[in-house]
Amino acid sequence: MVENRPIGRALTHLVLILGVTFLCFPVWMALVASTHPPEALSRAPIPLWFGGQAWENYKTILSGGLSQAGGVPVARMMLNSAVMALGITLGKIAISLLSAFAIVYFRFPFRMAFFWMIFITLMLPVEVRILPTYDVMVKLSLLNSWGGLIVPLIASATATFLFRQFFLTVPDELVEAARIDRAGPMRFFWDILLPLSRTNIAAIFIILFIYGWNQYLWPLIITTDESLYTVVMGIGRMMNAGEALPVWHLIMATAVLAMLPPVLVVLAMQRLFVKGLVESEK
Amino acid sequence: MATVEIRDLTKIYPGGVSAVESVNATIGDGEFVVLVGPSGCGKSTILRMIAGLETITGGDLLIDGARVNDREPGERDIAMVFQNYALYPHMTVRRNMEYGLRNEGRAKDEIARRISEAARMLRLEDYLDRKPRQLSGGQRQRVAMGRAIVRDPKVFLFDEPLSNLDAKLRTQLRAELKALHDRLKATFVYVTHDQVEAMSLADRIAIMNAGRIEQIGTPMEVYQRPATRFVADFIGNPAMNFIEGRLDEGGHIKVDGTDVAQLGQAAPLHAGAKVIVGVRPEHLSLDASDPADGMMSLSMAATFQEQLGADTVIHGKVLGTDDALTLRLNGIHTVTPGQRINLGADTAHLHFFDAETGARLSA
Repeated sequence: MVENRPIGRALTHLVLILGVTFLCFPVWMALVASTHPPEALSRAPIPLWFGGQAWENYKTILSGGLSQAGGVPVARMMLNSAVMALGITLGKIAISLLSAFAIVYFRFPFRMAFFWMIFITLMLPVEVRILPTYDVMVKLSLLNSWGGLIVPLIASATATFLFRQFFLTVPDELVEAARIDRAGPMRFFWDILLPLSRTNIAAIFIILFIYGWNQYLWPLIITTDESLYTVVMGIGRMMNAGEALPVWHLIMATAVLAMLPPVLVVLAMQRLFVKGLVESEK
Repeated sequence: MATVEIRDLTKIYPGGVSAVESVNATIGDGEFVVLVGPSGCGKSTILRMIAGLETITGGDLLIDGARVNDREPGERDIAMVFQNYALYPHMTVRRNMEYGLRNEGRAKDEIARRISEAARMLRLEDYLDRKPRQLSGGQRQRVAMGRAIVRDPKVFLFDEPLSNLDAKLRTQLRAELKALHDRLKATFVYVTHDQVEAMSLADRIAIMNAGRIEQIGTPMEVYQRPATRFVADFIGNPAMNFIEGRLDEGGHIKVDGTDVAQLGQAAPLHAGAKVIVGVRPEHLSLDASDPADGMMSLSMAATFQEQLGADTVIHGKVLGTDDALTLRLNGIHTVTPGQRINLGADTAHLHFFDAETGARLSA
């Protein structure tokens, strides 16, 4: 596979460099735009290098917020997003671990029926069930609350399925050894299954955190209270702020900030994630 | 220390497949019993029923006189060593060994004492803080044994514990296991498909076939007086030779027209019935010059030989038939393919089986 011909190598690198440029250009633009005064961005040649107003722009959005977009400071929105994303992620992991545990290790009536019910919901995105879900949230009076933001998104067919697949690879002898060692089902779950799933949990944590962080439609529908706005919603609000011109320098600064937490999560979990892929401890 | 009693033990799987059929056995206190048989004969199923990992669909299981059919594995006071070790991969050796004791709620100092004792016995002291994946196969299996020993159970169960190891290590661990049994004086039930393992370890061997026990006896009993043709075939390496013969009116067994032996009066067969004559490769000799009384003589056509150094195994066919014949000789011998060899065997070493049922005939 690996050929050592100079032309081939040059071509490979060219393709890779093009790809990276293509992917990174928008991020670069956002970074650059967030450091300029508003006038610089509405003039013809859009600047490709940093301006001198980074400090002011970031200070404005972090503390004061944008009056046209409700005046919620971005710091507050970031906090809201973090709470929602973490709530969704941890909730999803907890629930899907337990349901996968039930499906793999217990024999109960309609076990396969439940499994297929979970599996089928894989194909239903949030948008499909958004109206009935909204209705339920209204009846539970969870509008404008953390519960309303997090709970409807907390069940995950994907994660359940992934954990199920992983549990199926855990040798039966481990369960049997644990039974002989007087470990009940929950003790087996805590002492053996959970530690073994560590790397899988890390991988799913990354995926789910980004999923939770990027939620837009659902928070938009369920919250009207500005103190619960998430940062993704905030960007949307800033862009559609009535008659005024979009304040691109501030929007881009917010976007840059909104990108940071997922990047940090990926960086922090990367080692565990890769370990999970490489290490084949049974 | 305890006895294990199995009464009419039966296992029928939900699909109707029967794995174990009405097996009866009594295992004495401190006895080392090996269940041996080909794969699928139900030996592991019996072991797993004793452990409580398989539900018992019929019959009773008594450990130390108490019926334990419906008890959870953890409540039966047994310990099990698995073929693939089944060590908890994320725990250190020490944690692996103490896990069961912690679940029982034992005191810390008692746990520590038992672990250090077992570690010393198994020479694992230097590995207590390692993870299983940092250990070799033999060490892992010793940890698995250690995990069983620290529990101080009534019965030790072994499910093919040496099958994943290479030949040399297997011999070494076999000796260790035997020494361990002598030291612990506990009741061992051991499953294997390897008859050498069975012969060298067991106080008594139970040979299983198709869900039934064919014979239970000491290694020498099953070697010298196999109860069925199956047992005769299974025990011994190379396997016993079987030659078909017929019974005549006088109770003589004739192979190819020659009289080979006289069967006792109690033979339940009528004249003309087919009889299988069995003779072990090591009981055949080149000493055929004088077919005197008490000797059976036989000729073979050699096809190939295996020179093992200490022994030579010669494979061939009974002259004039298609019956395979194996001969094991001490020392180094050389034959050419097609060579005719005259053989003799002491009739005291012959075994007779009913060709229909496979049951042993006479003494």
